[in-house]
Amino acid sequence: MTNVLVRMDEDLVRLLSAGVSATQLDQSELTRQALRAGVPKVVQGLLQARSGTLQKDRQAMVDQVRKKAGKWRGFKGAELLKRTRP
Amino acid sequence: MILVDTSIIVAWLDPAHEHHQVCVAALERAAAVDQLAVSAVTFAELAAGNRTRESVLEALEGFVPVDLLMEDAWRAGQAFGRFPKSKKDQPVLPDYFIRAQAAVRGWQHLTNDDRRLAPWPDVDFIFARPRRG
Repeated sequence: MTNVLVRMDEDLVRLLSAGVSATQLDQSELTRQALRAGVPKVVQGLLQARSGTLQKDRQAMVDQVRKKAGKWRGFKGAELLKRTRP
Repeated sequence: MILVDTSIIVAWLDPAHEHHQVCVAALERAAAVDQLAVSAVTFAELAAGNRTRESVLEALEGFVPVDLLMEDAWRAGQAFGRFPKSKKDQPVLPDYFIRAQAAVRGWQHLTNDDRRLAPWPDVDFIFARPRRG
């Protein structure tokens, strides 16, 4: 069991340092294994990591929304919508 | 997951749009609480707007793309068929696809378009602006 824990911890560190998103973390083999084996320490670590990556993901998207707002000068959005959905 | 309607996307990108500021604020609020998704149908609508494919893809980076599935198409057609047509309001079928995608997946739907809501009692709408009385 100790070996499994060490390996899972290493996998978790590797995943996080690769900058995975919360969704990728959810879909990872590590998450599947930890949930299947019911290893509390790893599951707890995953949940904390997920919470951290989620916050980062959200902030990144908020930043992107701000950065791209109004980027398409000369784009007549309202007129386009009148054509695509009269 | 929050599915973002084209009505929000165009107002967000177009600085001269009448509802630009309110849609930017709504999109920021949505991005802060959940993942944002955008429909393949929005991709089609933006393609009609004389922008390059690259610029559209670049603008939508970070949004989860949602393909149109058979189930979505069926739900859209059903809703379209049930909606009463009138001389004053004659909706087109493509208008129904994005809401069908939100309905089928049980996702919230952020929109700046509050018309023709009746066929979608099961969609959890988030409106960028207060609804018209």
